[in-house]
Amino acid sequence: MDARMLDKADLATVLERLAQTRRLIAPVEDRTGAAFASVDEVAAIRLDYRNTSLSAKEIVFPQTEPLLVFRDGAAEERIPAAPGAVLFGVRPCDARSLTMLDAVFRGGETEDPYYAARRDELTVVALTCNEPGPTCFCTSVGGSPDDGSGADVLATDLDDGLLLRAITDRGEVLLGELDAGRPAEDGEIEAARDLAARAAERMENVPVPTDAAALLATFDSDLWSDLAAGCIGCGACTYACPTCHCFDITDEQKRGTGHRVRSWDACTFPPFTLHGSGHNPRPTATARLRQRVLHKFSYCPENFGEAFCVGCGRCVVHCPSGIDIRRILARLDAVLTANSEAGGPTR
Amino acid sequence: MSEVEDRLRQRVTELLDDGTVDLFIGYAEADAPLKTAVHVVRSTTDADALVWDARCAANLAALLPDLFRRPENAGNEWAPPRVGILAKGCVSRSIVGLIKAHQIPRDALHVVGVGCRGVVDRHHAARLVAPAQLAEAEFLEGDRLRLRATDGTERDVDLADVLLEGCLVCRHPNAVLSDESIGDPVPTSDRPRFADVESFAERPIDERWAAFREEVSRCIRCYACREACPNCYCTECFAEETAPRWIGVTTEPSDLMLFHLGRAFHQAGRCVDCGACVSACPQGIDLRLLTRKVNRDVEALFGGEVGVSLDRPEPLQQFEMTDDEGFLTEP
Repeated sequence: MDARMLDKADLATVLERLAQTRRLIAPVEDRTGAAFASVDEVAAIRLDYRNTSLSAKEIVFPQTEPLLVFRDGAAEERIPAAPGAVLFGVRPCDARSLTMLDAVFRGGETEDPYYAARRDELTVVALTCNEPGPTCFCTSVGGSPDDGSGADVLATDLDDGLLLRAITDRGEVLLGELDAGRPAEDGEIEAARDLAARAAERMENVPVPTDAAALLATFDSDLWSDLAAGCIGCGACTYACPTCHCFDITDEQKRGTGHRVRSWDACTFPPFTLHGSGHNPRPTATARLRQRVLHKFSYCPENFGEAFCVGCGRCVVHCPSGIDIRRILARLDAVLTANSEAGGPTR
Repeated sequence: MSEVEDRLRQRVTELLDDGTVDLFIGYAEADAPLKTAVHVVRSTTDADALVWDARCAANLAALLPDLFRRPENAGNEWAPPRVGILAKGCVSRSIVGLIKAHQIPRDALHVVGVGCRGVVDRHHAARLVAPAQLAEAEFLEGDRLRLRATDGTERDVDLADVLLEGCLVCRHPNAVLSDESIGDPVPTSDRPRFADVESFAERPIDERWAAFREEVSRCIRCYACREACPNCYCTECFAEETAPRWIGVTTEPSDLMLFHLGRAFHQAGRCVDCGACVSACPQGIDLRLLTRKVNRDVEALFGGEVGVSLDRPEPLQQFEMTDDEGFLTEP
């Protein structure tokens, strides 16, 4: 497929041209470090970032999304118009998370039209990683610094230039539109692969249990209350996470018009499973943290064939109590290994 | 490991061994820059993980109310645990507040007081290296901090330049309530306490409104601020109540502004300005913008500081005939 080498000095001009015909979403500097934003001023784009504070999922799954409005017995759907946006410079972990969100919102019998409208026509240019971040562990969960899942073009910072490799038909179309740079040389593509390989080598290796059934068998173990001891029941981990996708639907009222709205929800919140009767099947932080971890590493592998974690480590950065998924996974892996060696069930 | 840490680990081991406490809440290392983990020690082997330094941002008192809440299916044999807790000044004031609000029992607590020299503001540090990320932070001699970024750059800063803003004006670095103390007392700040409130008040009203609206516009309703706060112990928060529906759950500007206004006012007479909310917020929002003003107003109107003594009622827990009623509006 098409691979082009673009001089860094020309990047701004190329992106400016792109921004004229497409909605350009790229990383910009913000109060938290870096964040994705719809960009009008190309000069604001910062590709010298490591990763954003929150994930890129807001682009296809906004925190608050109107579903329909209703008044006097009539309702009107609010499916967004999403004219071919380009998500430029997202990390491979976030690009990969899009495939997991696809499985949730489009993979079943019913496709979510709100998600689909934003996702369709979205071209993803993933900026491969030359360095792991301080909490990164993508290689431990089936990803890599130059993983192409969810991406249409792989971009690599090669000091003098930006290498752009199309990996899907949509990517080819974008490179055609950009019509920039020159054909890439084999040596340059090789250099890009080397950088990713070296980044992977330097990344922390986290032992991740992959036996979904064995994980589920830890359900009644005391170790969960240990792991959840500091959890305060906020949604920082969930909301920063690229693959978390739970939502609530509420009817809000604004000046006599009803708005049915979808907004993010988190299984870590105490009222997440609160029944109308007042009973809560997950009344403790222990039950909720256990649910979060088992959902990602046991139930999703059973339902979707892969763990819903891309190893970005944002939950580690943001947890106010310093709870660390890498340590939880290592502890679970140790327990499961010990149990399988002992040949018995989990204590 | 510092002397204070050494002494802390020793004392916690002793407190568990002699049965004074069933568990001890403190801080432990976390594998991310400028972070510590909340650490609940139940066996003496876990006591060695305890740490104490300027990364200890969480207000540990936030964990207390749940520990003393009778579990749903508890039988008659359930008894509240005896809880030990490491308390810097603000944490001890939160404990006073919770005792006075009848959320936790004084006699089931063993408070180990420790003097605090301030907590590093992780968002301030992040902004110094943005758009790169903080890779490593190292404390240096002379109250300095070395920040290493993911882009390979390194910078040394004075701790005083990166502490939480509340720490810079702290009048209670040492525990106001304790069963014992470790380490030496720390001197209080003498900086003007409400300079930020005063300078904000000088701005024209529409500028202030715009600044407030802009500041909370990044809020994602994760409630980290709320859960990190010891004062937010309500079993149902106004922000999530459906009958009546006070505010919506969305990130529309009106919902965000009402959530933060509500939060600030609910803190009146209770906020100890520990900054745990600021540290917890993933979006680096200045959550003290409104609470600082509310704190100052409560002091000015009703006198007395929050959470400094078990013997006096809290400012909003009492009513004097001479209390200012200037806030009442004509019907």
